[in-house]
Amino acid sequence: MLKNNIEKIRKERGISQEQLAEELMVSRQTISSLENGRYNPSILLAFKIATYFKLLIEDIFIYEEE
Amino acid sequence: MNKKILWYFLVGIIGIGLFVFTLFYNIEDSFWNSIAIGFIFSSLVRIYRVFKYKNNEEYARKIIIENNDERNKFLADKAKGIAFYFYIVISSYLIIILRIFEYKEMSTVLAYSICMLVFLYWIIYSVLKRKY
Repeated sequence: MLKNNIEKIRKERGISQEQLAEELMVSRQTISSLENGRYNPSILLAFKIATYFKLLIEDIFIYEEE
Repeated sequence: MNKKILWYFLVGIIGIGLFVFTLFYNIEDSFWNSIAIGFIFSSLVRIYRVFKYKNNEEYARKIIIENNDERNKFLADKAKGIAFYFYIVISSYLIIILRIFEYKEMSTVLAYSICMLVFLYWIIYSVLKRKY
């Protein structure tokens, strides 16, 4: 199972879902689905998110054995 | 982009040609007229969208995001998979029902369509397996 801290990090930095979506060139619904854990990103999008926040992928995404 | 416009323009011309042809040869049935009108309208809509894309930055960005958003692609692929599955299941039941009610031709056409679909799936799967 893949969890993530996108919502927490985004809110800490005062960025809206729309702004993040705009920066990553994805739809706002994608950001919403990622934050709710309904959709797991591709490795490419995960890297894009990590690069945007200037963090490591492991700082944002947490893999948990089911 | 210009190639696209040219292609859409060509589709429109084919539509107009087909429409004129049906009028000229008095074959004004709903099938050929619908195809001709479909060609003309789809060509007009697509040309309009290309021009809007070129002249409206906001719209262009929206289209780029819509086309490249990986969740949209994921949803489209999933929807295709589910639609494929249901087509096979529903058609299989229909084949049996049509056979029972003696609609043999329809039943056979449907059966062939399933065979072709499964065959195509198998071919594409084999090609993709080599590619990835």
